[in-house]
Amino acid sequence: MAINRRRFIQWGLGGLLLPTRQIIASTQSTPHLFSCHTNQQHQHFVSLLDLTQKTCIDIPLPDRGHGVALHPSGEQLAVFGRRPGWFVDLINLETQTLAYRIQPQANRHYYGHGVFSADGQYLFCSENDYANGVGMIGIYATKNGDYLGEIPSHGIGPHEIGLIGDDNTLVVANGGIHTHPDLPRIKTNLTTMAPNLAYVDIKSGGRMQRFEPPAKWRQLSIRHLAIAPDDDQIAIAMQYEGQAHHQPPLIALQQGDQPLKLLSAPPNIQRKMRNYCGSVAFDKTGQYFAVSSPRGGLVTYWSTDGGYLRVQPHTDACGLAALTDGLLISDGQGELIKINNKFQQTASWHYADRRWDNHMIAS
Amino acid sequence: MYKLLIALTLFLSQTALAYDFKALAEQHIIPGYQQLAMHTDALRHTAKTYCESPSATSAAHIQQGYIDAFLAWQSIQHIRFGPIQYLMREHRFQLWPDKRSTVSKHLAQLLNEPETASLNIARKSVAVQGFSALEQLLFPQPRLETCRVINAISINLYQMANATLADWTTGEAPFQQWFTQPNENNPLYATETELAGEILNNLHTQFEILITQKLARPLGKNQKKARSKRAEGWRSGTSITALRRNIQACQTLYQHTFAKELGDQPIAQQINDQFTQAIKLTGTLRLPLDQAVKNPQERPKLIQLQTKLKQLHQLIKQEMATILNLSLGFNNLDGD
Repeated sequence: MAINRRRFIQWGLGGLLLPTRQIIASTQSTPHLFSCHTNQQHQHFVSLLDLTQKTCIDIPLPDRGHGVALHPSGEQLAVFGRRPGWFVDLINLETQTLAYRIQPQANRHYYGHGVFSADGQYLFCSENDYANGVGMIGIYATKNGDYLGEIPSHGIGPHEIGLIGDDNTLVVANGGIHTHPDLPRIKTNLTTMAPNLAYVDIKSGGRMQRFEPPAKWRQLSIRHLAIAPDDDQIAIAMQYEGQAHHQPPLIALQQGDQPLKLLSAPPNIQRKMRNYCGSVAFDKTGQYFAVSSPRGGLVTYWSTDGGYLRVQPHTDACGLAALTDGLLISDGQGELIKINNKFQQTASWHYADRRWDNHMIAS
Repeated sequence: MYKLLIALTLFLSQTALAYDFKALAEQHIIPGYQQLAMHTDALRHTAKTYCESPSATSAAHIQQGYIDAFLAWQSIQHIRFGPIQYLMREHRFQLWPDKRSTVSKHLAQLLNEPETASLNIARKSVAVQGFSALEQLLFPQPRLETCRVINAISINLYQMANATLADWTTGEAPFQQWFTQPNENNPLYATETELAGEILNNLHTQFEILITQKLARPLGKNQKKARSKRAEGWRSGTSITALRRNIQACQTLYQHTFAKELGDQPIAQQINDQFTQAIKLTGTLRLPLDQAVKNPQERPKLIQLQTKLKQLHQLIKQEMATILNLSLGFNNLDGD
């Protein structure tokens, strides 16, 4: 339900209540896009783009942003500070201004991702309880930014989170890597890390299910995830922390109570991923999903049963956003390209003087 | 005759295009790690001597041992791929910049811990494992009561240097093997272009660090806003020498790779000359960097050096990269 609602975002259509079908038609031709970026002067922004009207509104951020999430009503955007993040900005999309700036509780920082509840009342953020070295999900009220409480993420280093099924369950990519804000980019437990994909009950905070990579690949950090449009399965994109010449699978599908189904591209493509995947997205028709490998400079496409479909070379590409008729890809050189469902590039936009950040969403 | 000429030209232009990754590994990178292993080995011996028989002489020796090892690190710091990345070694060698003074904080915690039979520093905070922490223990004067930690860090530095060197050269899968033989079955580098891209990214990263972290941060916006203690190695007075070693290392890296690939195109010499000029500029400074940033005679020289490095950076990442058909990939300092 949440996913469905998110599909029919009306932002930019003047708040007009159009029949569903017409809105789909509009979103096909007028993708609205939300992404953070950094300019050459090292200033940080979140951008609200209308690719058809070619408008782009840049709202300054206090520090570098990372992920973004859209309120189910389409009226609010959450922008998450990059880890170790010290802010989450709630942007009012009608006035295109900052509504609330949320800051973490004592001994917490943000990891850069989050998701709204299905009814839009709550915002869930992946957080680090760095004094105790455990992951938490912070809960905030969207109407005023108030902190309401937290539930455990059931792992270390929670990163991207999603909302599934009955809208009462969060699915969390627990990367397994412990970091401390005193040493912002230092991973302190690489030899003992234990990543997992956890299903967490929102009401009780209880762990419903947890899936881990096989022992052999416990240095595979589960960082990013995408939920299939029908909620049927989760695709995850991972980063390997072991020796560079190992070539573990970096992508997995997880369905129901089944274990992770690890996926590898053909060796010559797998190799090029450089043990690092940055973002994952299903297309909105649920036919396939895409994974970006920014270090390797490529995007791979996969069928929903896990079959490797194809590769598309694209230097420094990381951001992926699902459209109803394809995908958008962003890169660190200011480029945005649109790919249709036949994997052909149908449009591109260049924004000089900016580096798109790792994630974006379209509506 | 005409056909022969074309064939000959083709042959010549193909042989002129020659990255020499084998020479780069054998003549620059591996010797760099060998030097690091040698100097950290010497350092641990000076540490042992100082701690067993402290004197003005052994104190001077351990300080010199530190400086030699630190400068050996500066000469190989620009290599940010391969074994040095494994298990955060790069940061364990040196945590810098340290904007939150984590090194001092974690060092104080460690020094306050009750002594146990053995100190496994490799299991402690990354901040206390390497050069940044050791510098604080040795300068301005080594402190005998910290010998336990001085010895542990010195040994750790040596062990990491040795392990990095070994990962390049020995074992079942020496990194050297991947690095010098790009081919389709190589898990790391299929083509010379991929390898060249890796090197270009490295140069780019090192220039960013030199320009923004090593120079811009201590320089500040103006003389009044200069921040001496943001200079790398200000305690041991190694800032300028470290910078010179960094630039020299980048020049050597360039000479083994892109210079050869560019052949006799004018830009090849232009880049090389700019490197040489930048190195020369580091030799004109009469004060250590932490003092120079606040000195009206010396500060302009640092700004001149910074400008020179910025020009060189642009030349490499734009003009040169375009000519060689290379593009800057994912930023090494980036990522999540």
